[in-house]
Amino acid sequence: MQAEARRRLRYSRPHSNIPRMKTIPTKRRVEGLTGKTARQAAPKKLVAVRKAAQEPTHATRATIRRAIRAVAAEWREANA
Amino acid sequence: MPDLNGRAATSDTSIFFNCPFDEAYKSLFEALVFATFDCGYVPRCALEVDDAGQVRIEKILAIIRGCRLGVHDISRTEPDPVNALPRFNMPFELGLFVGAARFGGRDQRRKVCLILDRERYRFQKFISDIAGQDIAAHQDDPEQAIKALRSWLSALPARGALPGGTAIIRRYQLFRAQLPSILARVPLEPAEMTFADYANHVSEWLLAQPRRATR
Repeated sequence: MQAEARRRLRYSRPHSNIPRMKTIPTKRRVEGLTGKTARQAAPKKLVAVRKAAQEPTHATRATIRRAIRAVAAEWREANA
Repeated sequence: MPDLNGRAATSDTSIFFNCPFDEAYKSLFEALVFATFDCGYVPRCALEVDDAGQVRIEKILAIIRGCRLGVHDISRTEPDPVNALPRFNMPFELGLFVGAARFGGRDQRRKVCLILDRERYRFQKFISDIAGQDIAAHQDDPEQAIKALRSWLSALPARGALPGGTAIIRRYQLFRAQLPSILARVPLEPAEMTFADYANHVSEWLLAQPRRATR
């Protein structure tokens, strides 16, 4: 995930060597942006890139969520 | 990083944190991050992207550009115990932020910032040029820092009702009490917790806690 996020960030940089008017190839696509030029995609792409770089994988979030629920349940029982 | 409603952070909802990242400041920083999420904003700082290929200043500039709001803590004026020299990163980044707000484009000129120090008027002795800015004191107390942040955010154009300072502090105390057990279940050693880990735990915890229950 980290490597993928770094690759996406690199692709999003203004000084990227990818010509701005080329369409985003399928292999490099960021969700929902295939076929658009980098310029057309920029605002949406930046949001997607930022999310990709900072969000943990679904499993990590799910693990945190499960732990929080379990502790909250313990807490409720202890205070009941 | 999305906000508590799952929306991606925008410039208007992102707060750039310019503060020390050492152990001595950790309790204040973690309290401020919690309060930021609880008020519906998203904290951003140089710790969030672990990309060794990116030059640090580029990373900081990119984050400053992406945040309309900034919180700058200039309280660390003591010399570094190792080198016996003061650190200038915080005043430098404050200058970058103020410069962006002064000389940047239309969006950048909308920037607003809160400056924090230990005591209210102490800054006049070491950085008198910023007199007239909005400066608040935290007395090295996380609860004071939460209250200062909350009252600053409440003066901004409304994004819905903000919880009160006391309510945020109560929720933060409950979160701190539960955090060791949560980390043990993940499992994650407290010492290994990165900024991203902490932010994810805070945002998930707040999502799981109906506000009314802790008031």
